[in-house]
Amino acid sequence: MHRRASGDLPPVAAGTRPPADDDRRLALALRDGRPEAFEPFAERFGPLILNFGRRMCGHRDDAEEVMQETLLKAFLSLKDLRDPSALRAWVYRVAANACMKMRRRGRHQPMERPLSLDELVPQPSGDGAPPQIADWSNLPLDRLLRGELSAALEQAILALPKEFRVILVLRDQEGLSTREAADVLGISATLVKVRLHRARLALRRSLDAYLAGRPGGAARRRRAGR
Amino acid sequence: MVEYLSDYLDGDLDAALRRTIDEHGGQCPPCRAFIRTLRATVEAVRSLPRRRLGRGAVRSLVVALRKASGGRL
Repeated sequence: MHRRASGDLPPVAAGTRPPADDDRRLALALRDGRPEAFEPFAERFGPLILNFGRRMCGHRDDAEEVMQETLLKAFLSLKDLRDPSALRAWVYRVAANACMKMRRRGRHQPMERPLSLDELVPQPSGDGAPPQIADWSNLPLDRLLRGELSAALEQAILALPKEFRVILVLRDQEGLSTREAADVLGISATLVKVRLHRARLALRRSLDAYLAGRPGGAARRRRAGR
Repeated sequence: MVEYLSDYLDGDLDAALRRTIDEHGGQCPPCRAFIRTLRATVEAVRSLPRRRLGRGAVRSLVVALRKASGGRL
């Protein structure tokens, strides 16, 4: 009997996804040009896009601009949506484009550089001894997230290069599947997985730097590196 | 092994690779700590609070967008 290192992650709690049939019905109503469908459309997707925009842009004003632009543009161009059940992915695609355009206008310039595994994973020391890795996984992160850790983590997300950030947000915050994220961004599922993994590693490194200095962090590091 | 860890946490690995990681993690404290903290990181990202948009805000938004659309909504 082997010992498990860690169980599967639970599903994304934030993804309050309505049934696919609801999206389909809404998409058909919108495609038929029924103006009364706009309010339920805004109600369903406004909050989703506001959160997506906030994670991508970092500022509420910009997130609101992204939300308004996305809702209006998605609504007015819905006639181009071939598959009504793909409404959600369609809306995220419009939102992602709005975010990219906003950055091209010069705001929130991300630091564009590749994230290499070597810099994200602790390396053995020169004498071949295993790296020391603090195990802060038992810290009460849910409680810490109600305080300053939340802001630190949000900043770490904003510091990710945009190609990595957009995938992390779609997968781990908006709850899209690998396939859906790939469709939204027009890239392969393999590339989504590679970038998601590196984004997660980069955030782990940021949290490690933040949490290792807390009481218990150094002791945990010594124990794990033994 | 490190390149498989997100697939491992997402439950997307085949049984043989999963078992290899489980077995290694059971014997190697640094790797176990790495996997646990990576998992905690993803859980923390997923737990970040989301902003809500009240019904009044949605109505205001709809009114504003109708105005901005120049009669197309």
